[in-house]
Amino acid sequence: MHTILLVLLMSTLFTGCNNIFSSSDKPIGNAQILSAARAAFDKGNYDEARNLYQQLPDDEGDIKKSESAFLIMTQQDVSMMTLIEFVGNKANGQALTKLAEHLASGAGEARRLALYEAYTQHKTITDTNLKGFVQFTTSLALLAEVLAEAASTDGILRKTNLVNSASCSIAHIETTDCDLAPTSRMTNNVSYDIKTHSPTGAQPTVDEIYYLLRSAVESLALLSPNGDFGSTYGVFVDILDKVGILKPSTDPLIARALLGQLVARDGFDIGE
Amino acid sequence: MKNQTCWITTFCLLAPLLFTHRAWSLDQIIRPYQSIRSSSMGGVSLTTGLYDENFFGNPARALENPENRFTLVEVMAEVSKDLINDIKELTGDGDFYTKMSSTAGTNNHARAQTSMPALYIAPKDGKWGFGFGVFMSTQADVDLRNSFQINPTVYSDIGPAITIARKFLDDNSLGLGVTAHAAYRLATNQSFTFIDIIKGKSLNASNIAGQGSHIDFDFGATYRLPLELNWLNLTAGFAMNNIQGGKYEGQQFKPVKDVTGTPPAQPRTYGFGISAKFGEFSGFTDTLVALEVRDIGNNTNGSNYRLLHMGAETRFLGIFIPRIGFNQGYLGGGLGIDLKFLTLDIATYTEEMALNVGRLSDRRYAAKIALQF
Repeated sequence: MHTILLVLLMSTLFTGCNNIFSSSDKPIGNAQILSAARAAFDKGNYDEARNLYQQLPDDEGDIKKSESAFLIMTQQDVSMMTLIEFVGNKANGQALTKLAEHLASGAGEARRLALYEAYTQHKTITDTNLKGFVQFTTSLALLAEVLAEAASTDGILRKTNLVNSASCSIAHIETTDCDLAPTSRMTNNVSYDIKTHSPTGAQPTVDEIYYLLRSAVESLALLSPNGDFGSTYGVFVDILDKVGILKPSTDPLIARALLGQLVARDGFDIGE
Repeated sequence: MKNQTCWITTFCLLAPLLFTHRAWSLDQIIRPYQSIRSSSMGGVSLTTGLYDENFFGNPARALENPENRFTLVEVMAEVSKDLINDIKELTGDGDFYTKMSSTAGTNNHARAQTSMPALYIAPKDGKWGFGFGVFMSTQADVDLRNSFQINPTVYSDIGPAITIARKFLDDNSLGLGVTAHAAYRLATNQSFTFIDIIKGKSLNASNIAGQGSHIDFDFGATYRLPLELNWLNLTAGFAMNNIQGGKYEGQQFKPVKDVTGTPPAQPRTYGFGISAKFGEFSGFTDTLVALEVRDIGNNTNGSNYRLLHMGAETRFLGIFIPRIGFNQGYLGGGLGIDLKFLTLDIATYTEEMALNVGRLSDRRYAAKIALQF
């Protein structure tokens, strides 16, 4: 008995994992609930964190929604650290491709819908900067997820997972090389605006890519009306300019225009 | 490469905007001085403090210093368990961004502290106690939080302190003391993003830090309860620290060029407690048990459980001093080795980083060496 007590005491002493008051010290008030939610988030107790965020009242709405979005992203393996990691180093010129490949395992409708829930959080955030930031990051995460669903079974996102031929380039952008590949897991048979429709369905659609790009442009414009965000903003806008404002559409030529830009254009260069 | 630069530029420009929305910080209680003895005794010191502890605890406890002492060297270092793990991670194989992202959600804490030189004059059979010392404490915490906040807090405090205490009443049961601090603080006063770190941006002190100096005071009292037991002394204690509000204003000593902001204040705090000192038994001497409530006033939005401290200490074979305690409900402990002129101490304790206890613990390890006469 004494040995057991001693082991328990020593393990508590050196791990610091137990607290004699924790069962009676419940968070009260917004500050404590928020602090507890962040603590649970840090410790990877995502369900607990989510419950605590949901307890926050509406006057803490911006924090509640933005951090709930980050929480969902983290649960879906797109934490902010993941974004920074891939954008910062692993990309080597193909950030979105690498992020999509990171998500290839487990990609599918369930993850798409979960990330869509994160994406919708920005809609009612009132602080302009926070709203733009959440919109941009969740658009990026959802875009990577949609592309991940198109990746090959070996987890590599190839150009031919999207378009007819790896020869799709700026020079061939008007040719069938850049048509949606018949073997692609993506479809162009349905069309809807992701801002108002949940992206349900077994297959991701080309339109989802279009609207997520447009959402990213909106968020960048929201954050920087003067275009202070460098060439990324310009690349997004250029692509959308070239695709036109014909959406929503199931027109295969629109899909060709969009996919051609994504696959061939310097600044995206999606697919290996 | 152009593509990569493009994305990084976007993130770097976007992320700081998030942090202008609200100032975030970890919720730990910042203390300008942390004695290793107190750390290993669950954070008690108002009714147990000796020597250096009383400059930032209860000045009246200067009356309990058993002997005169001159401290030539006293150096303490402290690190968090997470920092030890993260250093292994960061210095291992792999790319920098992967390694850095793997540290998310952990707090990297370190503290270096000196209290030297210092001179203590014990009252012995007299009525007066005295102490003078020069202190330096630098603590740093860096936490990349999963909720996309970064919490770089660095506090560096330096300055002399002088304590005077006197016994009152016929039986000398009441002790009153006061400490004057002349302190300079250089500390971070705003957040910055981990994108800045990723970019290797120079974190110029002029952008993120403030400095200031002040003279502030502590007041403390102890009262030995009138018990007719020769094997037990019960002492109650009370202290008020940073009476003027700890604002680091009013003095013009600002030695770091270009740092124009003011540092965070060290708020006025109150604390009280009771300790029991036992007579010798079975070879154990100087046995103390204490219960204290501290940091009242320095616990914004935090639960009252964060103010609770319990600890005990005893001496065995004359030189070994085992200690144990509960700091904010977390078990800690330590060992002191008293070789008269040389003392060695080790401690481990846990600090709460959230506003309620048991939510986000930060386990820390500390060691101290002191040379005194």
